[in-house]
Amino acid sequence: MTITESDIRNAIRSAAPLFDVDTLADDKDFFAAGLDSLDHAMVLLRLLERHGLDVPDEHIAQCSSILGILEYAAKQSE
Amino acid sequence: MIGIGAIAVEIPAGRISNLARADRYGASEAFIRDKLGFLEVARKPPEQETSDLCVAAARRLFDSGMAAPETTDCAVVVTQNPDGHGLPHTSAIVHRKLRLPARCLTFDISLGCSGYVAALAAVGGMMQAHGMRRGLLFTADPYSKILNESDRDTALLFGDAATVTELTDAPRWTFGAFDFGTRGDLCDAIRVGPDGKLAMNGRAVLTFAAVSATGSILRTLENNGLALDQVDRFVVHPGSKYMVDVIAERLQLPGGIPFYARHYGNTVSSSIPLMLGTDLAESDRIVLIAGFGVGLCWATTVLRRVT
Repeated sequence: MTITESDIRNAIRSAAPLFDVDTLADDKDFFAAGLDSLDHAMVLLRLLERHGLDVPDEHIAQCSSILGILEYAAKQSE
Repeated sequence: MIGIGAIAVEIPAGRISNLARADRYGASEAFIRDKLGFLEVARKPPEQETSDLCVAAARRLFDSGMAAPETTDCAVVVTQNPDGHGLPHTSAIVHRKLRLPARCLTFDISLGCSGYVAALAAVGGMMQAHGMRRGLLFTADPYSKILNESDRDTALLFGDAATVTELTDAPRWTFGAFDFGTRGDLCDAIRVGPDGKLAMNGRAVLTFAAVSATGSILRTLENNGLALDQVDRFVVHPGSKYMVDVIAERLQLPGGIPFYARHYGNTVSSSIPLMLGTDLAESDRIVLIAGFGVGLCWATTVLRRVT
């Protein structure tokens, strides 16, 4: 499983079409940037369905930024 | 063939405004309006029991002349918040309060948001098999009994209500093929904890709805030989507005799915019959109903209007 920054931005774009994902910094916390928990859940579902990235509840806090998801995905593929 | 004759509903008059208390939960007005969708939730008075809600709904049904207590062969209550401690079963208490006939079978069904659709199959099938002509199917699951009002994940969602559906051998609506399922591995996602209060893993429930409810709707259409555009109305359990919108998007329904529960909340197993009883149009001929939640279970079917 390889996930790119672009994959994550596309998942956000798809889950929250009104959210300005293009200006979202890689290390910016999703919730601080204006996403809510429902959007976040759908972003992670899209990453699971499209890229096979499974994020159990105990790791969800780590996956609250683009960088966090990339780091988590990298660990899973080690 | 057994089907639906009439539906009556009871929504308590009491309301709690979610907009007025949004700040307390750290929620914005936009989140309440556009994501949760519930502007207010219905609350029964504390002293009003589950059976009282059922009886109030039944009185409306009987007053309409659509059904009569003396011809009732069975009375079934779908609830996980029964009267007292659950023994005797709430349907027996309803039987007493409504003075239903002695030769009337009563039992309760323990299911949540999928309960109404599953009970249509269970009770309808039982009536068909055993020659029963008229039955009363109640839904009443007042979550105010188990809500922790400081819990944002649940307090803003759930409302109290009850419904009664007359099941009859002279129906106005018949059922099609059903689709059922359970994700027992996720059963802890909606549960009552040791403190007696409701706890919910919102992410797990939303993901379950997006995947399993959508899949069930598509299978139900296929099993009934229908395409999406042949359904006049989708009556999908309103777990939240966002949940309904996600399902509509995944089904690629251009007009979306209407959200009717803004002024009373997620009423668990009552949500679908409540919408059927109040929001259908005369032009609706084929209606898909999909319930999903506690268990985590789903149940879906198609209703066809008898012409």
